[in-house]
Amino acid sequence: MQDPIIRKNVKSLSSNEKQHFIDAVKALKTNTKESRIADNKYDDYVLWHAQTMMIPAGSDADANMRNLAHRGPIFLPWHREFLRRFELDLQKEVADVAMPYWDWAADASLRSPDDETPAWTLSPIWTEDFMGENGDPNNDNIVGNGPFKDWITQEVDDHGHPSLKDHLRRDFGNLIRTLPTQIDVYNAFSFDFFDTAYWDVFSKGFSNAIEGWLNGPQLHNRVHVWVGGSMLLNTSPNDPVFFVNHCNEDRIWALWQDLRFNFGYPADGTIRDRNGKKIDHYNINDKIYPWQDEPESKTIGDMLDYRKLGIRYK
Amino acid sequence: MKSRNYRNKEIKYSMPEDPNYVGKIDLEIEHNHVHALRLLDGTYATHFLPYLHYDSIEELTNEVIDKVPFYRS
Repeated sequence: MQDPIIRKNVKSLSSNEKQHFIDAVKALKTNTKESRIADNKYDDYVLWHAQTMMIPAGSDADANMRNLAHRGPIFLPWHREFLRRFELDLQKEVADVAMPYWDWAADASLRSPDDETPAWTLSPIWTEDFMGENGDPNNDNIVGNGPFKDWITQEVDDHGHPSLKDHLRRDFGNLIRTLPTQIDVYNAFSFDFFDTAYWDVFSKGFSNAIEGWLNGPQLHNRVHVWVGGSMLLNTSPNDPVFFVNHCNEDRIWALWQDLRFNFGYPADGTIRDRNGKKIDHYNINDKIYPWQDEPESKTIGDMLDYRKLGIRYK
Repeated sequence: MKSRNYRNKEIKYSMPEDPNYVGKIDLEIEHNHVHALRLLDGTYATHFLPYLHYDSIEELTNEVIDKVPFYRS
């Protein structure tokens, strides 16, 4: 059996580990020979995310905007597979690289040393050698420093087709002032069940709490909104911080699974909408879209045990 | 269709008058269709800005023009 992948907190990465991660991400962006649906392998992930988000899930989706990756119990398993694939692609570029996670709740407790210095400057994420800093408010919030300075984004039209290219933008704390806190994470852990009917943004449960629709925007959604800029959009994987954010949500799910002895999903694995119809691609033995026709495609059930996927969090 | 301008862009939209209406909204910015829904709780959403709900269709439309590259340009 292969050694498990050890995913570490960004703050505990060595300089070399940070550099290897950045090198691998940038290598995907310049890999134009093996891309599947975009101009390069990195942008494949941008388009997969945006396009999957545009596909309604269930006959009641016009009332809740449930889709094949979000706004329902598929959210955590779909992103676990998305991250797993991304990590495998990173490793093809730089051997042994692993996804790090951003413990944003720790950043929520950072305090500014003075009135002039924003608290985020103390974070291990927003540094010249990792994610770079905030966007420049005098230049349309375009990120102007760090490894992703001059990073070109892939945007989409109303059909999810690639449209124009743009710049990476960030606008920290503009739409919402604070990141989610550790107390917010504990509150999500108070749910001992994963999700409930009708399996959408209005249902109670751990999954929806982590995605952030309960009294939202909270947790995952709140991080996207706090970073702002490119992270607000359906093309949010354009910002590499997307992946370290989702790695943290996956870590929190893994912790919950361990504490609750609960892999999530209802006992019979069937998800039905408000009209009593099974939701395609949502049931435990359904293949995960859009990779369902690939030889190595995975089901939702395959995603529930992170240890079987060879993932460990440190 | 109702019509207005924001940042020199023409917005047109129509939806049923029923205050309890839930479903698709016919929305265009500069003649380009924009995905928009009115949800069960009375808020508005679009898959272009998927992490937030909006209290009105006007607020949603303004945010699309301010934030979404395809409609900003």
